Amino acid sequence: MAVTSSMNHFNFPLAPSTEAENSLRAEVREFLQDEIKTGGFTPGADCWMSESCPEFSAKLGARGWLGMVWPKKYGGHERSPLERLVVTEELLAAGAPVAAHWIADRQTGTQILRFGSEQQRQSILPRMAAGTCFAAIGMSEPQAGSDLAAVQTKADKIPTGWRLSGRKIWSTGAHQSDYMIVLARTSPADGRNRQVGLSQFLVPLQAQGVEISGIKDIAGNVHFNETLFDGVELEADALLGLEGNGWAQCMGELVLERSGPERFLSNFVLLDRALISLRGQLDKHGAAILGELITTLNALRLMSRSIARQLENGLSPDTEAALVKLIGNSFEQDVVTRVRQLLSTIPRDHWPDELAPMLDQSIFRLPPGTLRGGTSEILRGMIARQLGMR
Amino acid sequence: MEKLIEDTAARIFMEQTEDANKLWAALEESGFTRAWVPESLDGFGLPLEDGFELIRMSAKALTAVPFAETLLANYFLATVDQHLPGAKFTLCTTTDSLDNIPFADSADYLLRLERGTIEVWRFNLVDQVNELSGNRAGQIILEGESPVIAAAAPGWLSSNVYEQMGALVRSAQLCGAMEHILSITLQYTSARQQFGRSLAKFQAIQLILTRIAAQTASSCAALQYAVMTPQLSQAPDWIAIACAKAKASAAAGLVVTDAIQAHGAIGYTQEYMLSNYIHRIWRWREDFGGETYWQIKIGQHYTQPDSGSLIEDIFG
Repeated sequence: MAVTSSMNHFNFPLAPSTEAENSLRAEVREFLQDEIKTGGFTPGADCWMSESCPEFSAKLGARGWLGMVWPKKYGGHERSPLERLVVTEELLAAGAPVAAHWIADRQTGTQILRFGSEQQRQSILPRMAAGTCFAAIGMSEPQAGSDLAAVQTKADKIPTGWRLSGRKIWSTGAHQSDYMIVLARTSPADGRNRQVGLSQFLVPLQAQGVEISGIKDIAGNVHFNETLFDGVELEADALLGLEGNGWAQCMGELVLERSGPERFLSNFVLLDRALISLRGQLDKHGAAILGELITTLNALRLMSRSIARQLENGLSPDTEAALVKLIGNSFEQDVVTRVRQLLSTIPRDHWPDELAPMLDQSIFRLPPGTLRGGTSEILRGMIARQLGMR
Repeated sequence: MEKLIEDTAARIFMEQTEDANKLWAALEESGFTRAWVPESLDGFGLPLEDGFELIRMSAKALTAVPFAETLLANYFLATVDQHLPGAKFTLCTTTDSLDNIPFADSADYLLRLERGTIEVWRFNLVDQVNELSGNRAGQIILEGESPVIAAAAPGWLSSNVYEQMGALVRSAQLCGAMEHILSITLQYTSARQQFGRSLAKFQAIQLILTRIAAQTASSCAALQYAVMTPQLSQAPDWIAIACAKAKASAAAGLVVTDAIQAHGAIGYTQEYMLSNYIHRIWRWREDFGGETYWQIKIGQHYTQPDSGSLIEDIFG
């Protein structure tokens, strides 16, 4: 039987770690251990969404661990995406309170770098890199969830710039943020092609007419918000990038949003702590369950490093990122289920103090993992397109 | 891998697969069966990862000769300065029984590691081989009183290392098979029309294909890393190999189930090419330890009273 050429549909070249990365990792790890010891923070699950601490963000900024890949002239540090990955991995693995700056550092800053005016870059990026200026995402709307091109928020040209009207929803941390990048319609759709006529705006959230209201999640916590833009007047340079290019810019932003290790490490801290409690407690069946989780974690980590390497090489591995997020979100949910099952054989009063709250946090905080940043169904659609099925 | 080597391998596997004798002759002539033997011992001296790539390619091509087994056997033999030119080998671990040995009707020798000794045995087939196993497994008895070669293995080559290298070989084969099943299933669902359009256009079918893609991609990632960890003539990083084999063995079973589901009944017939991959997968996923075997080892490793931390192992 002949081989029909079997194409590689996805590309995950190996990215071996370097000496520089290893020493950076040791430095970050030591800092985090010190912080935990001295009461700087208590490790928490889903820390990149749920654990916000501006003082801690400022400490990271002072150490040069925010805006790592941005140019020095804008307060960045010109480090590689893989070095940034080392820092984000360690922060997530430690359950550090990184939510305040997470979005600014991950995507908003880079969008400003790519599309902002020189004045915006100079005034905003150094503050983001210092961990003192935060951002939220303005994509979803009450009537535009997965169908993002259905956004109804609109921006009209006025003599002084733009007038923004509409509503954004599910914006994590908007209530603690300084800016939001808003996707808005600036001209009508071209027939059925709704991706034209959209633009991105960099909106200062303290502007007149912006009203932010928190939405309580299932645990009663407020981290996401609905934001009303009631005829907000923006200066001309609030337009980010090109008028009408919003869809493409937004897709580029989503690659940044989806490609990081937070899509599979949100509750690593739970797994790590549970392992300590499970020492000497597992039968073979339990060991196999744990072993399976670790094999998936290993694969995800290798794929995630590969994505960082591809970003370093100027590529845009959007489908690969979708694949890692898809597998990673399902892994995170498996971690909760499996750890819960394994721990059920050990009386709760034998658990170390921090484990019970960490498990409860994971149970309450992880459900949106398969929704935020693109639902698993949207990601499967992207993967199917890459496979040539759409 | 160098382009020239890859092209040569692709040509050999593509053109010669119909005729087992011609295929074997071409593999011998190219030096691929001696890819991991140092040049000083008349071998090709390729890096380990290149040999694993050849194995992955051979699995995609449904190579019906003991290429992977011989490649590994020749590597082990070279550690004791031995060479049996042109010979085909099969392998078994110390705990495998002799009643289900691959290529029982075509391999010339069995190479095993018994209590620190590399043994090469001639053997005889007891009964019919199981052609459905995909690599013609059968019951054998060893021939004669003693092996034709018995040599003390170097210190690094323990029975654990023998098993790990075997597991890595099977992981590479499983990955090759999964990659090819993904392609076959894509081709089939794109061509097959139902309800007036191709199956590939249905979201329900796309869901199946994305699951196959996810399992395949994560298995390949674990493999790519694991094949970089052993150095020639050194014990490998067993955790990396355990992760690769556990992932590939578990994934391959899921991929088979999904591939049959996407195909419909045709996927369950002997005639259709998918069956050849499925037979091999069902064998390879168990060889040198199935997923549960390796998962238990990994799980126990991290829950021993004195075990190291996951964060240091996983993140370096």
